[in-house]
Amino acid sequence: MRLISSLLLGLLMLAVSSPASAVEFQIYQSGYKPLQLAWEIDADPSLHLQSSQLGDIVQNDLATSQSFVTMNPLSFLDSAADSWKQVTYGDWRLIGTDVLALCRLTVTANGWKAEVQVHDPFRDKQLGTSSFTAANGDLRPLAHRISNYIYQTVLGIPGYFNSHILYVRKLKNSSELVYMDQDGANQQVVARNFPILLSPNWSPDGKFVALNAYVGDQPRIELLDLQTGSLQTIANFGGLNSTPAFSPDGRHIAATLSYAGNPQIYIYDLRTKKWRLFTHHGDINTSPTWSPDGKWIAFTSNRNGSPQIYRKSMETGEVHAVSLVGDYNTSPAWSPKGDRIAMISLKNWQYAVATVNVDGSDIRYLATGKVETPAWSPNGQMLIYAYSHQGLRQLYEVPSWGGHPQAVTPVSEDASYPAWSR
Amino acid sequence: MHSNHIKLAAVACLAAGLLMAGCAKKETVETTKPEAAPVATAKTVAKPATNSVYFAFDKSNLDNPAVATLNANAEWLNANSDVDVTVEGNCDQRGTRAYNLALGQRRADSVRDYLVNHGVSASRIKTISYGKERPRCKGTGEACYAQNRRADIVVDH
Repeated sequence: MRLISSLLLGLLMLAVSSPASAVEFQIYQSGYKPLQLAWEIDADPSLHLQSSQLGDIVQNDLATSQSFVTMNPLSFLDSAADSWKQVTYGDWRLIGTDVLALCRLTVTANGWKAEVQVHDPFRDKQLGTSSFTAANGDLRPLAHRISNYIYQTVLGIPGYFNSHILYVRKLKNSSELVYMDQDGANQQVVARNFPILLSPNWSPDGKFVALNAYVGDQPRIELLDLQTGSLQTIANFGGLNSTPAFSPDGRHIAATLSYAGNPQIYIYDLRTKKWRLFTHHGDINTSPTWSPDGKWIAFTSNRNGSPQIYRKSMETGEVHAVSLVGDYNTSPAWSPKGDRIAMISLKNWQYAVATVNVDGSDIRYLATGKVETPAWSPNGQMLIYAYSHQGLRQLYEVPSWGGHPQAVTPVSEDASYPAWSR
Repeated sequence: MHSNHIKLAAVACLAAGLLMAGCAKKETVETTKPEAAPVATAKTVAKPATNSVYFAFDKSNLDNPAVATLNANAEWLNANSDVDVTVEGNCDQRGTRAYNLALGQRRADSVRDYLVNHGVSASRIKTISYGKERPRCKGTGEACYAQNRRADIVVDH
């Protein structure tokens, strides 16, 4: 009898501890229904390649934002040439078009001109019109400006399509810093040959990157000048020199140092070149992130036992808890709008990218799996993070208002620590 | 411990200017009866069997096995004052990277502080954290994780 009951108990424990049965996080679902977008481009037949490339980039931008779904042109009743003469709103309503974006691409003396109209067929209304010029060469920056225009005209929110992303690519024996457009195009290696490379962070003007680089076996905080490629050491103390974060005004860098004892947050003044201690409590304090007004720093601390997110006032020194749910919350990232903080939540060995209000209320879990280091798009609408599976990490992005995670980097490389330009 | 006693025996043997054959014979005997090893040069402290200290998840405090390992290492370091070391802190793959980097530092600092409190000069000890960036065991499961929650006392060269 005893044998049977212990056998049963064993089976029960097996069932309870099975990871497949663990669903720790209810994924936040927004009620948002993406807008059906019809894209039409009119151009001389000799510009066929360029106009289709331009259309591909714009439609990819808008589709990956998940605010739009691009419609199949085979369903369109009117040609681009027709629509440029006269938009027949009924024809677009008939196929369910929420947004009609019309473009006309022409060659100018020294480059390109793109005229754009944005229409709302269900309101019989033109929402806006604009024109863009670009010098000869790559059409990508022009396409991203058009995407920004359509996005802002329809949603009233600035686009992020001309922004850039930095990340760490790990090779067999070293790591390098990669720079790319937000859609993954134009990748280039901007710094290489680090034994370990962690936590890149952009200066607000986009000219510098603060990073935690190991030089030989010594971790340092370095400032990388993206124009010249030169490195300047700003922290080379004994112990930890990690997680640099530029202040919104670009004059200070918060980081984690441990030379005086426990890992604490310090603040570096780029003019006086001096560090000052900012946190005083707890065994571990790390991962600072600034509020966009520069008045607060949120950080991870285990001052009450397990790692949680706190925020501390620059002015008064008062400290408030940010994460209130779960035993383990780390990697805070303050949203550019200032209202929410993204973080990694861990429950029963399951991880999630989550966001909370600054006061800790209204937690939303956006993506699960082995996720790390969330970072915000400059308009606060997207989060990019590293997702690890089968030992390799890939960058994924997900709308901060709920949506589906989508890959940004290929499976063929180990990519982590994304940083989005501001 | 065995091999160290054998070496000591061999050294003593050579110093006495005995024949090599005699040494070899004596070694064989010593291997089977280590307790009979000569202790004339016992001022030399044997290098400890392990230089690794292990930790519980999200912890940097030292448990009893850790203290035993550190006592042996402190004794050896105190007997070899020309040796400098780096204490390397590591974490398992669970938890997040930046936090684990700080946790690995705390583990390295715990080990350093213990050694300093037991007579080793702080100037001889550097610390570094690798967080979860350099796992010894790359798989999953507690057996693997336990190996990676570790601080190593590594002799500088």
